[in-house]
Amino acid sequence: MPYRPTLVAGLLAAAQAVIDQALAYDPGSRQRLLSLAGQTLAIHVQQPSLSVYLELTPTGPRLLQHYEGEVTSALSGTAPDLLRLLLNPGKSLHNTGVSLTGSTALLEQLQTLLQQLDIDWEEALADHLGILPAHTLAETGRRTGAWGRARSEELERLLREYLTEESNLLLGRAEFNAFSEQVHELRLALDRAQARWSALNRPAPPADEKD
Amino acid sequence: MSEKKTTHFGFEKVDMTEKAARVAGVFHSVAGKYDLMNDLMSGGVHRLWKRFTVEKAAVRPGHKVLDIAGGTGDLSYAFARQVGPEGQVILADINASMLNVGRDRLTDRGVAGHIHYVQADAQYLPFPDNHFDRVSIAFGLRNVTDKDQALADFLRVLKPGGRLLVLEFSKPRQALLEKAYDAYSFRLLPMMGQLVAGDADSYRYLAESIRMHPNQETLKGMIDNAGFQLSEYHNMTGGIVALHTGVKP
Repeated sequence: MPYRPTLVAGLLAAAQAVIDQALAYDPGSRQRLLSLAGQTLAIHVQQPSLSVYLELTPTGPRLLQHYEGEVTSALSGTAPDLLRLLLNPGKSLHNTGVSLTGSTALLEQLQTLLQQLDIDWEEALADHLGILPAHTLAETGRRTGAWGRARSEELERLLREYLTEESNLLLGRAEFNAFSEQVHELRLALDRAQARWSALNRPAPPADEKD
Repeated sequence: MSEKKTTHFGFEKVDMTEKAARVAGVFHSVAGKYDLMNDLMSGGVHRLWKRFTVEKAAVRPGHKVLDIAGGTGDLSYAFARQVGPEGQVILADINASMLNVGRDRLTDRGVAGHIHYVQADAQYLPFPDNHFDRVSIAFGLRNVTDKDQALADFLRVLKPGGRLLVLEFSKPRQALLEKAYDAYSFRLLPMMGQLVAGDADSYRYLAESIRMHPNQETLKGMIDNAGFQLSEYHNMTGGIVALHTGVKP
């Protein structure tokens, strides 16, 4: 595919708008990001060949397709591998198909920041719908979310009880712990028996070595 | 008796001394609706062309940047954010109406202090030699009477190692796109100009001036001839627009 600056500029402009909006409703994350100013993350995509840069400036992050300054960290990989990494950030890049050059600190800081992102959706809604409708919607959302979480936890508990107590298909946690404890004690006893057996079988020292 | 030198004003041939005044007339007429018309004509894509230009400029804090034919100040705004308080941006335009719109707009957006406004002709820049780190001209070169002279003056005011950026309409790479683009620019554009800005003639001139402007390779040759090195160009939107860059040795 030939290099298309307008298309890439359009995609980056859209992504930049999303990032700016998200940070506008999460001043804490914005402040943490500003403290990383002066660093740049490069993402080199192979197939299709494309480089994207996240430049952290004192006025906010900038997404670029062309950058001539010093890069702090650079990620390289195919588009599917990089996308998989973005969607499922793990602790290690091992077996991800993505390689990292430069400082790992920036990547870790950005990953932590992404995990701690706390967007004020109610304020975002209020900017478009007004305070009261936004609060009502947010309250409904929060109640629905809490109800959903409670039902999900209850379902999990009931299923666990059924499988362990009612149907006896699975071992309960208490039984499993007791069984593990027995296995552990048996292993210790075996170790002791083996040590004693070894001591008894050791040849006696020659008589002339005795006093 | 010596023969009068002529140049193009759209498809018309005019005396070289007349072109600047005729172009000024066009931009006095469209200045007030310039941004709106740009968005309408390009579907907002002109922002992406300018975004790429700003990235290729690679302006750093402390740089001195000249945005010639800067009009309503889109590039100057981006440059002013990048050079920081220790840098300097000069928004220059030959047309007072465009310059006024640009100055008001940037002041309203809070850009002040390290930006200056100068009414200047691209062919006779009122700046010392070796002064700027970057010189940009976006959608302005085709309106300049003597492009070679303007390029020579851009070279003069740039510092050695400084970079020139010329963003300008160019020649579409595919015949089909060119036909569609012709139909759009000669039929739709003047109609939109009449409806929005109340001025069909200025937008007819826009379409004609684009056709008379040198294509990608010719302009690259002109930049080389002016004395720039490492010149290159990037086609955008199928070659409808091209960004040419060159470095002063």
